[in-house]
Amino acid sequence: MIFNIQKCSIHDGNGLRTLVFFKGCPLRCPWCANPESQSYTADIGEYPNKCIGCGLCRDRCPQNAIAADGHINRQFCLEECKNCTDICYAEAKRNIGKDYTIEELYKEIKKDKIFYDIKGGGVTFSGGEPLTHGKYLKEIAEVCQKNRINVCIESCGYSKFEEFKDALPFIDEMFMDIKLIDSQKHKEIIGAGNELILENIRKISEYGIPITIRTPVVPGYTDEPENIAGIAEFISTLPTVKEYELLAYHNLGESKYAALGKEYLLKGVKPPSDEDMIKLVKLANSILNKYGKKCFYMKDNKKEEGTKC
Amino acid sequence: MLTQRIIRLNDKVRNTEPTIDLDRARLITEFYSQPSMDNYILRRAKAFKYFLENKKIFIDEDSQIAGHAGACIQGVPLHPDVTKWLYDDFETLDNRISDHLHFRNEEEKEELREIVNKWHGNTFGDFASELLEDDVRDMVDALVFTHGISNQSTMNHTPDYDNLIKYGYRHYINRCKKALEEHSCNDVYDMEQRINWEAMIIVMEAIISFAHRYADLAETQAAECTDAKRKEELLTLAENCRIVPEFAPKTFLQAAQLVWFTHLAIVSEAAGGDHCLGRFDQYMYPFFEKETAEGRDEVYFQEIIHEFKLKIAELWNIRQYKESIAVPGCPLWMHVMLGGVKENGKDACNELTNVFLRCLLDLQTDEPCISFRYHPNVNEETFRLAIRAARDTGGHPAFYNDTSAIMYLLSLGFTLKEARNWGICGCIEPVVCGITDFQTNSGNFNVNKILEITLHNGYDPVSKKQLGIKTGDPKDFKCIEDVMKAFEAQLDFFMEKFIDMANTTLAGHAFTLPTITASCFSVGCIEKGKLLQQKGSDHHYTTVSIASMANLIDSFAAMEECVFNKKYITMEELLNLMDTNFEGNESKRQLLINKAPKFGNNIEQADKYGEWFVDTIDRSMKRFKDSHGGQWTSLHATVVYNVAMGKTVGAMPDGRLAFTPLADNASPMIGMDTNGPTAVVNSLAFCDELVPQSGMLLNQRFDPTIAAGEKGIDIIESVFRAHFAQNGYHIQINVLDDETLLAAQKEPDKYKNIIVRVAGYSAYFVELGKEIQDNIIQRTIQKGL
Repeated sequence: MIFNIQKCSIHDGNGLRTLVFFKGCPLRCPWCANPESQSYTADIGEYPNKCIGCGLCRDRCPQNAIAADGHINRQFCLEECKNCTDICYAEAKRNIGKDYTIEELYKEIKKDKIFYDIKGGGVTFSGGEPLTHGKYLKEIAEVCQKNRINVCIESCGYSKFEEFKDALPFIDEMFMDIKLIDSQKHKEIIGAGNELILENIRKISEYGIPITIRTPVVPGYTDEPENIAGIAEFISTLPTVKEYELLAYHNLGESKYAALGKEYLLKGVKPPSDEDMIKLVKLANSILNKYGKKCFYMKDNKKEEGTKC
Repeated sequence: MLTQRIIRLNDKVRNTEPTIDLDRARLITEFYSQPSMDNYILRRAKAFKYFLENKKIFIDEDSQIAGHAGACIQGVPLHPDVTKWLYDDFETLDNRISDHLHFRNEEEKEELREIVNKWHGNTFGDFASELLEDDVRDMVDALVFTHGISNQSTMNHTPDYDNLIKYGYRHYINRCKKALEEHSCNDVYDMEQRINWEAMIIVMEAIISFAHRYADLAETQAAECTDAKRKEELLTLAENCRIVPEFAPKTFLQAAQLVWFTHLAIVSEAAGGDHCLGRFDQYMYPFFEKETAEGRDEVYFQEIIHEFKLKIAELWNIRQYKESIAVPGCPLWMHVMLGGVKENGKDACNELTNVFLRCLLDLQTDEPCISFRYHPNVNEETFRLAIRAARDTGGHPAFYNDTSAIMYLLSLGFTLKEARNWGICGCIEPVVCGITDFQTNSGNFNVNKILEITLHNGYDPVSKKQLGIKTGDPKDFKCIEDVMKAFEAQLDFFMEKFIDMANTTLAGHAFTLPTITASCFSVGCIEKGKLLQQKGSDHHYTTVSIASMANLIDSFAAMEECVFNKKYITMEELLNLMDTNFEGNESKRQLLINKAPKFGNNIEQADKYGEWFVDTIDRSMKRFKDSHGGQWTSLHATVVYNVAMGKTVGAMPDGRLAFTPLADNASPMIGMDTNGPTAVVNSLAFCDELVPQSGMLLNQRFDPTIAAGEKGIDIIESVFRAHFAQNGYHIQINVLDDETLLAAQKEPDKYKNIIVRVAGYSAYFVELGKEIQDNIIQRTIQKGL
């Protein structure tokens, strides 16, 4: 299942890219900017500022779960029931998640082929966790590769190697997250240890796929210097990793939690400052540079490597 | 780098309040007050000569180039002989919302009023207006289409600067004289040639003498000047004005002076704008190359380019009140073309192209329009410099595709080598410089109005008149094809009315207001002894501007999906919703908006109506020829008529509310393109962009954070290249965020120099009316994520 196809993205790979977001993720990072990606089934999103107050959804709801202000009391919702999203013409209630056949998905990806060909763009499968959709991923990646479309994967790395290994021959490049190097902390915060992730990264790297490692810098969670240094140390042993990108935490996903009737746990956490980011970038570079690798973060569309400060 | 001289000149042009300059109105009225049996063409020529001999002139203390339209900076001449509206809109001149002017004093206002009253009922505009049949007048009043070129003569001249610059006027005068010597009147209509050659000689001699007046003045000023450097400059200016326009220029400065005198003469002779400045980086290059070799530095050329641009920027094409609202910011649409290919197909970018583009980085002016021709082998560095200029400084240049333009021109009968030498007349329309007689402003065609009329069986619910033909009660339509068929029949009906009106008006120009100066420098006219309006040129075509196709496409897609496929509502319900402007039924409006695909998202179900529509319009107009025997071409551009036209169109099946703005140009409807710029470009590509031979105008706004840095240029470049690879013809960008524009609305003084791309032209944002400003802010901003 796919929850979004976004055209003309400039991140997550070279050139102009189409991002395909898979639905479903085994991890639960509290800072997740795409909470609608977590469940493996379709969700109902609520967007009250689009509501025109027509009341059609209330009339249609078999459970009387919708209040006068249009808000859904989700504990009453029936599984798979989408009556309210079907009737909501204003799209104040929207179904999130759609199944695509390989053919349908390829048709969407192909639409921007002419753009990919110009500056080396292509498709990026993201999520959710694409590696947990191994068979489907393999099929679509194979079609793309046959048609000379560059394939990138953005992944948290948490999936059985057996599940996705058949897809590897059709992948050109990967972006893989390491959130925390300490497995205990990883387990406490995200709900699972990081052993499987680190092992997958090592195997994928040994398989020969170029990887960029990424860490979201979330104040109070992942921004300890020891964490970044530890990840950098790990990276220094990986043959196909050239770059380590730090991503500054942002709270742009916050409103999505409300739309899904979920609670946002990081309320009040401020994005890290440029200064903080540069400090961590420098720290990582002090470890990585001697291995011919580098760390950076993106600022104003430019890679900031902390060399000038 | 901007020199102090240019900073001062820019300041004067930008910050001097425009005042009405009575010279032209007075002198023309004086001239025509003398009884005469002279032929009307010779009379036009002599009237122009009289004006040039007597108009007040001055040389600004910072100028290296002589010549102004008025007797002071920002002096605005009026054309009471030509424009009918001057009588009707007189009181709006000094208090209108857009483009308002000042009188120097009350006496001058009264004097002008008297002059205008004198011409009342007898202007060219009155003549043109009387050509309208009553039923067509109703259509014009209801804004089914506009009556173009009815208050000015043929515009869109494209002087042959490539050759003029090699010879100077004397060469052309001699050719006319030779033709006269060999001429004899064997037939009654041979007289026409004799009159025309004589008229052309009168006009060219008059412009030469006009230049000599500046030479005299400069010499007088030099004699009194105590500053040695300025004295030298004045003497150079005097020498230049003795050489050009009479003889071939020897320096870059003289060449610029020649082009400026010629352009100034063309706009002074008859009201109107849109005259093409051609490929500046090509015809000026030999002078640039020679003087660069002699040691001139870049600053020398940049000063001349800046002053030349400021000369154009200072010109006015003052319009009637309702047009000043529709096309605010006084666009002249005078395009300087850069880049492209040479006659042999090789890249034409040169160092002068780069110098010109660097000038844009230092100082932007609203006019002239700067355009850049892309082709697959374009110099990458120059192309990126051009993108940087557009991104960083407000819209100039706009980008055009050589491949599409050359295809258009081949299909219009030009040879390959001719077609490669193209520039722009009008908003975005390609012409071959020097050899084309093209007419852009025949009128704007309001296709959404026609759909509204179709859905009311020929009746216009706004003007409450049966304007169209009976094409059936839409309640009986069984499928979308029925609607399409009815629409096509109405379109054909109105197109015929429109073309008849436009052809009659065009023909009227030949018998009242031919343009003599422009004819001298358009290939074919001297050879044939005919003026442009008398079919002097070898190449003719005329375009119809098509407004806001996105609303039409979205309306058809909504009817297909919501009425015929999914049957959410019946046609009867839809018609009721339209007639009641969705009152009390917002959910049905949302249904039409959200449950049907929209143009601009690369969805075939919507885009296929774009393809059909572009073909249908073309087929409909191709049933006719223009009054010069040329083709009718379509141009998908509205300028900002989408706001004015929107005011006459009721609620539409796409969910648009009554009387609100329509989509701009060929762009998707505001807020409806939600899949990024690649989807927009692909939707347009689906429409077979090679069909409308005068182009499709696409505006795209980018978020400054996305467009930042070299990566930002990469993104824009990718969008451009992909657009052009799919035969896209034109694209222009604004890189400004909402915050900046909203701040500019609040504190206009602080943001006086923000230039935005409006439609085929740029304008100072703060000079636009609030409504247009809002419309620009609402244009979908492409963020890419």
